[in-house]
Order: sequence, then C-alpha cells, then structure tokens
Amino acid sequence: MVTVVIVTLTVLGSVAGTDDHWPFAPFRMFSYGNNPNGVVRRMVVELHTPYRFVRVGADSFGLRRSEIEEQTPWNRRIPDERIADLARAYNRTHRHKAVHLQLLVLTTQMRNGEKAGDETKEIIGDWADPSWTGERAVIDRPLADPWPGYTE
Amino acid sequence: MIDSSTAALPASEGPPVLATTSLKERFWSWWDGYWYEEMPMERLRVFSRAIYLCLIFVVVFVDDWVPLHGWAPRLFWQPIGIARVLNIPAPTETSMAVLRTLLLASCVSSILLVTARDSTVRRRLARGSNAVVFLSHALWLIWAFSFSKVDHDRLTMMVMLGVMTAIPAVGSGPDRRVGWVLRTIQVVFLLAYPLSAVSKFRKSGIMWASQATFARAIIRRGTDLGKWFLNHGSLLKFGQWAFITFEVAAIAALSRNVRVRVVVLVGIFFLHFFTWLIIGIHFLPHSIALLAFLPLERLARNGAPANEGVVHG
Repeated sequence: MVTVVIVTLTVLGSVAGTDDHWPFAPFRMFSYGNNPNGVVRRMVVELHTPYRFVRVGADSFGLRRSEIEEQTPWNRRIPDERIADLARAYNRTHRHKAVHLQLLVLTTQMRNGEKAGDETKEIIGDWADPSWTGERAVIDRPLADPWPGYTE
Repeated sequence: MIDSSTAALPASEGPPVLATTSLKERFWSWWDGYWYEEMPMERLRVFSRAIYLCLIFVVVFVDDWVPLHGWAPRLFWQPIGIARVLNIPAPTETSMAVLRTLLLASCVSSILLVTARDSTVRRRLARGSNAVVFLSHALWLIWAFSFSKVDHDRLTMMVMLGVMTAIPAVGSGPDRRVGWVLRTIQVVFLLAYPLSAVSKFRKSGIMWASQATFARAIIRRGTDLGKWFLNHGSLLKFGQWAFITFEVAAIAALSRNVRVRVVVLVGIFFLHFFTWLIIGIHFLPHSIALLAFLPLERLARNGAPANEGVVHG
C-alpha cells in the first residue's frame, strides 16, 4: 500500500503538479528549452563598499542566484523595498558595508545554439545608503509585479 | 507491509473461474516476487550506512548554501505548500544551526545503530533515530526550497530515508522486507528519468532536444570543459537527443532483466558524469541510489553468501 501511494504520488506530481506540491513535484530541471537563436540571461549584483567596487553572487545575500531570478522579472524594475532588503542582508553579514548596490541583468546572444558575442548588461535595480555621493542609475522600466507564486 | 493477497485467493470451480483465478494468481505472484523479493539484510545494512554517510557529506559540502537562508532577505521567503499547511515559519540563523546539528547527529546515530544483532529494542532505537533523520531532513529541505527554487532530485533521498525508517537495517539473513525497501528505492530512482522527459515535453514540446538547453546551462554555470562545447552547437544538440532518448529508455530498467539493467544503469552513471563534467551538477542525493542495485552484502563483514549478481534483485 505504501509503495502504491509513493509511486502514484510521484507520477501524479510529475504529470499534473507544481513545485508547490513538493516533495511530489515535477522533475522539471532543464525542462525549458532555449531558442538556439535567442538569448540567455543571468542576474548579478555589483556593489560599492567604502573601500572597493565588487561583483558578488547571490550567496552574499543568503540566496541562490535562481531564487533572485525567479522572483525578479528581467524586464522590470525591482521594487525599492526588495533591493533594500538585499542590501540589509548583505550589510548584516559583511564587515565592509555596501553603500551602493545595483542588480544587473547580463544577456548573451545565441546563434545556431552557440554563443555569439559578449554579454551586455542592464541595470534593473539601484539602492544607495544616504552616505553615498556617487552616481545613481535612472531605471526607466515599469515596476515588477509581486511574484505570482509556485505556478509551474 | 507484506502483501498477503496470494493466500486469500478463492478455490477454482470450473474452467471460466479457473482462468480468472489463474490470472489473479499470476498477478499477485508477480507482485509479490517484484516488490517483496528476499534480499539479505546485510545488503541493507551496508546500503543504510552508505546513505547516511552520503547525507552527512551532502549537508556539509553540497548544501552549504542552505544555512545561508537563516539570514536571507525576508521578502524573498516564499513558503512551499507543505510549509504553509504546517505553518512552518522562516528559518533563523539559530533555528537553522540547531536543525543542522540535529540532522548531522542523527545521521551519525543511525549509522551506529545499524547492527547484525536483532532485538526489539535495537529495532526501535534504530527506527527512532532514522525517523529523526527523516523529519529533520524534510524540514531542512522545506527551508531550503521555500525561497522559490525547488531541486527535484531530492525526492529520492526523501523516499530512501522514509523506507529506511519503516524498515531499519537491524538483523541479518534473507528478508522480504529488505526487498521491499530496495525495490521501492529502485523504482522511485528510475521513475525520475522518464518523468523528467515528461516534464520536458510538457514545458517545451517534443522538440526539446533541438533547442539550446545545454548551451543555456553552460553559459549560466558551465565548467571550462562545458565552455568548450559552447562553440560546438551540433555536439550539444546531439547530446540533448541522446540525453532525452536515454531518459525515456531508462524505464526499461524497471524490469528485472539483468542485462537490460546493466546497460541502463551504466548509462545513468555516464549521464550524471557527463552532466557533472560540463555544468558541475552531480545530483548526488539522487544518483547515490544507484547503490540500491548492487550486491552490497559482499562488503558486509558477516555477509550472507553473495548469490546475486550485480544489479540483480
């Protein structure tokens, strides 16, 4: 009986479930195809501390990159409170605090399934401490809607 | 746990009934032989130790990002269904550290409680320890996945820990319950492959393999070897066709045919090895279940005679 339940839930979760149904969620890693002539995007964060400029990974904020990407549409501006929350997490755990922080989308063009050219970068979020006197980015994009939840 | 349906079959009273009964008998005989094949407890003892050791390795070295969620930005907390149903709050640095310690300690105790000497007390102790591993690992993954990213390879480890809680590795000699534990793990492990193919067809259609999925993965997180492939799109496309064909074909290993199993399992090993080489992902908490197909009793100190070949049973 236990066996039947485990196997049934595994199959059902896979053909009709979403990530919300974990542990019986679909095995959907790498299930999304990418247009061989399309683009590949990834997000990174660049920040200034009082001493240096650095590009950091999502782990500097206690997250994985895909977690930031999943909740942040690439063609929208990240809400101020969310990027401020990222900055707050960074500053809680690093001795040299961030005073200016930007969320970037890096885009790579593909041609016939191969990389065609270097990455381009766009800024979709900009946060600064009141002490920051450097340049700020003006982001002319609509504000991102709240994350819709585990829909797939 | 053991199915007793075969004992309850009605007596045959004529040709039509005989045919029905015979069909039933054949089904239950197959069912019994498939799910409850006698396997040596020595195999489960070695398997259990290996899995708990592997889990320690995973928690310490692979899941090193999970404790970071203890201080992750709270606006990114997106509890998955089970966390909402059970009203599980977001982790804190303290709760995450306590859970990690509990998980590692219970893994160690589960390894120590694997024993050839059988008694009710030993079985209860082992089951209790395994249950703590199962529950603490479940919470570990709930906290890991409740920031909007679920890793689907973890179902196998959950099932392994669950069935090893039901039947702890205590005792020795042939036992049908060992067959049930290992067969359940084998089936869930193998189902992951055709079901992954199903997900690909659901999300990207039948032509998934003609797209640039591998190229995307390499650009985002490729190894040096993987980046070499970025200039060889046709090789990547060939790899994708081979990958999905193999995922569909893997279902053949659900049979107990030894030759089929050897081919599929060796293929699965190389599939994971290749994935690790080009994008650095090993799926260890899933791929370790390959051990469930091996005659591990040969490694046990007081192992039973090794009367089963590789990937048999």
